[in-house]
Parts: sequence; C-alpha cells; structure tokens
Amino acid sequence: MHTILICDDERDIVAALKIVLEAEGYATLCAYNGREALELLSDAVQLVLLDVMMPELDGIATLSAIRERSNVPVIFLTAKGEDTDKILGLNLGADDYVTKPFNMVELLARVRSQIRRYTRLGGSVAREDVLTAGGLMLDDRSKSVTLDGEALSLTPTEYDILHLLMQNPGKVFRPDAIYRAVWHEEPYGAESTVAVHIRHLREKIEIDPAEPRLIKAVWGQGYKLEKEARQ
Amino acid sequence: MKKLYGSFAAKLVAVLLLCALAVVFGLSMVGVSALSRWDAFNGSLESVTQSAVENLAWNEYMYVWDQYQSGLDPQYISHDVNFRFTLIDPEGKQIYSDYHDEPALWHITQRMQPNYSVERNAAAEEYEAAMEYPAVTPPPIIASEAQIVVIDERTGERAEFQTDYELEQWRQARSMTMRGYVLAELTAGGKFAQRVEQVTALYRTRYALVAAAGLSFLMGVLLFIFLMAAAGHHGDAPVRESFVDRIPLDVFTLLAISAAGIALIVPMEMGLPGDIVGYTVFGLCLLAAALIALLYCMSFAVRVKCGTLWQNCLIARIFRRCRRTTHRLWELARDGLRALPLIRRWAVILGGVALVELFVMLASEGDCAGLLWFVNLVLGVPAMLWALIGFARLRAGAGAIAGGDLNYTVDTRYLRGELLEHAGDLNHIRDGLNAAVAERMKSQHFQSELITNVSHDIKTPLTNIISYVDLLEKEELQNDTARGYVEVLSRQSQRLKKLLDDLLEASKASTGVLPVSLERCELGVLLDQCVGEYGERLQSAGLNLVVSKPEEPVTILADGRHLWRVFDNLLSNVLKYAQPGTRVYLNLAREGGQAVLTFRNISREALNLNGEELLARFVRGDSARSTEGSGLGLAIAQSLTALQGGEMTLDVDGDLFKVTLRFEETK
Repeated sequence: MHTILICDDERDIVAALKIVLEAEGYATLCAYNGREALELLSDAVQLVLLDVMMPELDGIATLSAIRERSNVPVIFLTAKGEDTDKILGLNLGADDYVTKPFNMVELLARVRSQIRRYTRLGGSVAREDVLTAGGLMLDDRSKSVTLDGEALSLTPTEYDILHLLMQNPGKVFRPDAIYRAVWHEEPYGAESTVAVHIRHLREKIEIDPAEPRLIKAVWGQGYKLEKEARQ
Repeated sequence: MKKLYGSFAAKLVAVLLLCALAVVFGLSMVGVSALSRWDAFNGSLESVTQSAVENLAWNEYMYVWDQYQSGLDPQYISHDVNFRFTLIDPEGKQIYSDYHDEPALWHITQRMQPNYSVERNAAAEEYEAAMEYPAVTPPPIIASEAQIVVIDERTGERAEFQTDYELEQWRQARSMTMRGYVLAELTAGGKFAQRVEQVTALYRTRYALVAAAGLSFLMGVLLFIFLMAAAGHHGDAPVRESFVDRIPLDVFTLLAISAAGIALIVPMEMGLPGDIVGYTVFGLCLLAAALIALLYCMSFAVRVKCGTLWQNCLIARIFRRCRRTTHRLWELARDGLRALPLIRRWAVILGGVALVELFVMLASEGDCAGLLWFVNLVLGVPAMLWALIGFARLRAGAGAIAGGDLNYTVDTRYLRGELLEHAGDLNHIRDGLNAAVAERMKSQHFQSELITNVSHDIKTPLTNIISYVDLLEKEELQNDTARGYVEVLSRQSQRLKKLLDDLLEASKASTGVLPVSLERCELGVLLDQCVGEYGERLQSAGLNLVVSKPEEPVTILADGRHLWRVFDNLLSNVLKYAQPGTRVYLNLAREGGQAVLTFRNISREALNLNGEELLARFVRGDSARSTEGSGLGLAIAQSLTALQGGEMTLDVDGDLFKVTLRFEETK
C-alpha cells in the first residue's frame, strides 16, 4: 500500500483525487497549502501531487523545500499549461506534470508510472547491452522492452526504431536516416512510413500520445528521444 | 514743497519774483557791463571818470565844430558848461579861446578840415575812380576836360580844380586846429557833471552790482528750476496737462517764437525814443518775451513729465497717422492675399510683379531689361530653390511615414506658409498614428492579459467539473438515462476545455506575446511527419491524401512547434469538414524564392462564407455550430503563420476549400 500526499488549495479537487486514488488502492494524505504539505511529508509518502498556484507557500517553493529533504517523486498539477512553467517545474526537480483540467485516467497512469519507478529503483542492474531512458529499459540480448518494469510488445520495426533512438538520446534523426538505418534501403518517398511507425511506438509508450514526453517530434527536422526524460 | 508745487499762488509769486529778478539782473548787468567797459574793476575812479566822459566829450567837440562850420561866430557857439575850446587858423594864429589853463579832465587837439560841397563833371568822376587815395602826389596824366567845383560851406568861397590833388592841396591849406577841454573841476549842471555823478555812484556800488547780478541770476535759476518742477501740478492731483499743454508741440513752439518775436521786433520797428520811456517800453517788451519763453519752458516741462512731448507733436501725429494708414493698407492687402487659395494668391502676386515689371520696362523704354532680369534671377532662383527644398522635405517625411517610420519628424526649420502648415500636418498625422498604434498595442496586450487571467480562473472550476464527471462515470449507475446524462456532461466539459485552450492560444498568437524561436525547418520532412500523424485517420474518414513535393529539400525559417500547430489545425479541419470519399491534396512548391504549401479539399457542407469571413474568429463553416471545434482553428493558424513571418490565405471556390501558406525560402 503506497501513500500519496495530495496538495491543492482547491478542496473539491483534493476530495475528488482522494476518492479516485483510494479507489485505486492508495492511501492518501491531504494538504491545502505548501506549508501543510511539508508538515505531512514523511518517509511513508511515496508520491506527492502538488499544485503550483497555492496561497502561503506556492508549489515551486514547496518543491524546493521537498527536494532538500527527499527525492520522493513529485507530479505538478498546473493550471497554467504554459511551456515556461512546465520547464521551470521539471528543472526544479518535478518528475512529471499534469495540466489542469486533467483527465483522471491520464493522472492515474502517471501516478502508477512514478510509483512503480520509485519503488523498483534499486532493482535495476546496469548492463552494457541494456539501454535505459526514463522508465524505459531495452534489453538487446532478449530483444525485450519494459516500461516501468512492465513488458511492452513491440513490432520488430518499432523495436529497431526505438533501439536507434535510445542509442543516441537527444539526437535528432531525420525520417530518411531512420528509414535507412532500420530498413537498410533508400526510402524513395516512403519517409512517411517512419512517421506512422513512430506514432504507433508513441501510442504504446506514452501515457498521452498527443503530448509525448519520451519520443518527441522535432517538426520539420525529425525525431528524438528526450535525453532527460523522467517518465 | 509738494504743497508749493500745487499752489497757483506760489507759482504766480515765483513768476513775478522771477520778473523782478530779471529786471534787477538786467539793470545790474547794464551797470556792470558799462563799468567793465570803463575798466572800473581795475582802474581808479579818475581813470573811470575819464573813460566815461570821453564819448560825451567827443560828441560835444564835434557839436562845437559843426556850429563853427555853419558860420557861427565862435563866441556865440553854445556848449556845455564844463566844456572849453580853442580855435587856431591854418597859419597858427589863435582865432578864439575860452580856455584859461584850468585843470582839464580830458582834452584833445585835432586838425579839422572845412565842410565843403564838391561837384565833379563826368571826366573828373572817371578820373577819381581810377585814382589812388589819398591824393598826396600829383597825378601823372591830367584830363583837360576834368573839372571839380568846390564851395566852402562856412565862407561860401568857390574854387575850381582839375584834379583831386589840387582839391587836397586846397583842403589842407584851409584846415584849422581845434582844441577841446573838459574841466576837471566840474560846475554843477550840464551833461558832464551829471555823467560824472552817475559814474561815481556806479563806481562806488560796483561790487554790490556784481553781487546783485550774481545773486539775482542764482535766485532766478532756482526759481526757474522750481517753476519747472512745479509745472503741471494742480493741488494734490498728479501731474496733468492744461489746455495749453495739449496744443501740439510744434504749433506751440511756432506760436511762442512768433509771440516773443513780435514782442521784440515791434518796438524796434516802431523806433523807440532814446529816453527813459523808450527804454522802459523796450524793457517791458523784453520782459514779455522772457515771460513767453518761461511759459513755453513750463509747458515743455509738463509735456516731458506726462511723456507727451513727441506724442503730442503735430508732425509726429501726422507721421503716425500716415504710418498707421500704410500699415492698415498693408495688412488689408496681406489678409486679402491670405484669404485667397494658394494658386490664386500666387497668381495675384506673380501677376502683380509682372505688371510692375512691365510698367518699369515701358517707362524706361527697355533700358531696365538687364537689371530686371538680374533682379528676377537673384530673387526668383533662391525662392524657387527654397520652395523645392521644402517640398523635398515634405516628400521625404510623407514617404517615411507612409513607410511606417513613426519616429520621423519633418524638419520645419525655415519653412513658411503653406509648406510649414503641410509639414505641421504631416507631423500631426505621425503623432496621431503613433498614439493609435500605442493605444492598439496597449489594448491588445490588455485583452491578452485578460483572456489569460479569465481562462486561468475558469480552469479551476472546470477541473472540478471534469474530475467529478469522471467520478460519476465510475459509479455503477443503475439508471440508463442518468448514464446518458453523464456522458453528455463528460463530452461537453471536454469541449469546454478545448475551447478554453483554443481561446487562450488564439489570443496569444494574435497579440504576438507568444515566444517564437525560428530554426531551419525542412518542409518535406514536416509533410512526411504530417502524413504519419494524419494519414491513417484521414483514411479511416474515407479521405484520400495526395501529397506532392519537389525532389530537393525546401527549407524555411520557422518555429517547428508553431508550424506543426498550423498543420495540425488545418488537417484536423480537413478531417472535420471534408466530404468523405474525396481526395485531399497537400502540395509543396517553390515560387520565386517562396515556399508555397497548399491544402485543398472538397467541403462536405456548402460554404456560404468567403475566405476572409472564414478566417474571422469564432466563425465556422456550419452555421449550426453543432460539430465539435471552437471556430478558432483557422484564426490561430493564420496568426501563428504571421508570427513566423509567413502568410496564410484562404480561397473558397464552390465546394473547393483551399488554404495557401507562403514562407520565404532560406538557403
């Protein structure tokens, strides 16, 4: 049984989250501002849901205070939805973010992902032929991919593309380059095939494929695997 | 003193006193001048008496001689009681004497020539005119017909000569010696006794006289100053002019001078007798003239004090009137010209100049042609250059403002008239534009801020709604109707969320507060990515996507995320509105350095709006607005395209819906 600390000044949202999370079998602690959250924070807490805009102590300051004490995963609940806020939160040590108004299904998926990763962190073994990024682990010997410990079923093409991207995290690959590396032939106008496969790959890996956190499209240039992805 | 200034009596007294002092001064000066003529301030009484007597003695001497000449016997000759004389004939024999060696105050001895009449004939006159005087030597030539007739007045003796030399000889031979004496011990009575008495009195009071003259002069000056200072004061009132002071200065001056002149000239012309009455009359006239002068001075002082000296001058008045009239005429002409429209005004001015020049030419019979040409050149060319420079400035200013340079100020230095007005108007237009632009920026910014804040505030309750609708969906609802309602709630709340996001994005994109980082972007790659994202969805919607692009890569500078958003919006539009079973064309081409992307599809619904109307915010092709979407997609796409320096146009041709994107191609 994992404990989640919910922190939001909007009591109705906290109540809704409490219901949903408890229905999923999590224990919850509720705080209505940053100060309360810091008081309730203990080693028993495995995840913090933190609103950004709060009275007394806002989410950003609370996050800084949390990071001084613990590296418990923190998911930001942000109403702003602006890129600068997301980036600031992630840079300050948030592990993920959900934009208000959020979808409960997505939120639960992200909560599950973070808790799994946090609780199994010690279990992973560093091996040369195992590539990791975010919660992804690609074992080239067994040709298997796991996301937060759960096995993914990928087609060979999808596997090859992911392998290519994971070997060079952060590097942008043009569609024709990916095609040549995976299909071992010239694309001759078949570059859009790559895009289709990437989309499928995203649908399998990303919680919200419309807003990918791992495999990102650099529009007009190609695709890349996010280097510092925390998922 | 102030009181004295205002008192008429004090002034009257002062004037009278001044008159009296003038009399005193005049008389004492007469005495002093006589005394100084007789050297009274250096010599003794005796020498002064001698000098004073001399004139009288001479008169008496000549009086005696004239009596003798008129043929009177010497013993019957009348003379002053204190005068004596002796007559001696040419041979040296004493004819008569009543002088008996008494001590003499004054005496003289002189050879006296007889009184005679002379008559010359023409030849003699001519001869005399050529002669040198005095005729002491015999002349070299004697004209035979010359004749001089001489008659002795006393004896009646007649003589005839041919030359003046002979006449001179005759005269010398008949001249007598006469001695005159004034006795030192004067008997009372007679001129000499009286004169000596007067002189002695004068001599005794000579210093008193000088003192009187000096004192009266000094007091006169002081009184004069007082009168000048007091002039114009009447009681306690401030200085004001009397009717006399209002007479124009020049007229007044003329009047004063003529009055004084009359007072001085009239007695002289009348010939006053030399006695005491005559002198008194003359003195009074002199006094009258002095009074006129004094009044004039006082009036002058008043004018100076009132500052009306020149103002009140007739000549000044006439001059002023003339100047005012010419000024008014000039203003009239100028205002008249100004009231005319530009072209007509200059037509009048140039026509006038041409007429004057024509007149000058005709009057001078063409002699002035060269000069006129030169004047026209010297005046006309700079004037035209000046106008051209002004025009060039206006042109530059208008060009700059039209080109969007709202900091440009038209230089108004040296500009005049219409050019200046024009420059001022241009600057005003610029200011107005500046204000309008600033106002617009402000209001846009405000609008964007407002939308951001409002949508943020809406998001919190919306999050609640969505969360609880989610919870409701999870509840095991027994009622099918209720489940249907929850489904509607879920759908509509999601739609509200989408609307809110679009609204926020539209406002940011249109006001330009969105950060844009331009990078090299390959449109071919982007198209492939788009096909990857949308291909399957389009296919499942029954649409056939046809993509065409050039062989070589087409690169532009754009912000990939924004550009994707544009494509995303356009393609989702196609998904929503395209007629199933038709083809959708996505074409990339190069056109004169520009990358041109076209999206073409057949609309499912009849489009009753044109391209521009479709681009307006919250406008949708279907008037019912039943389908999902905010009506902001196209507006957002256009704003984002513009943000990246591109251009998006929309064409509707029947059911053909066509979107064109244009970007500058980069190497």
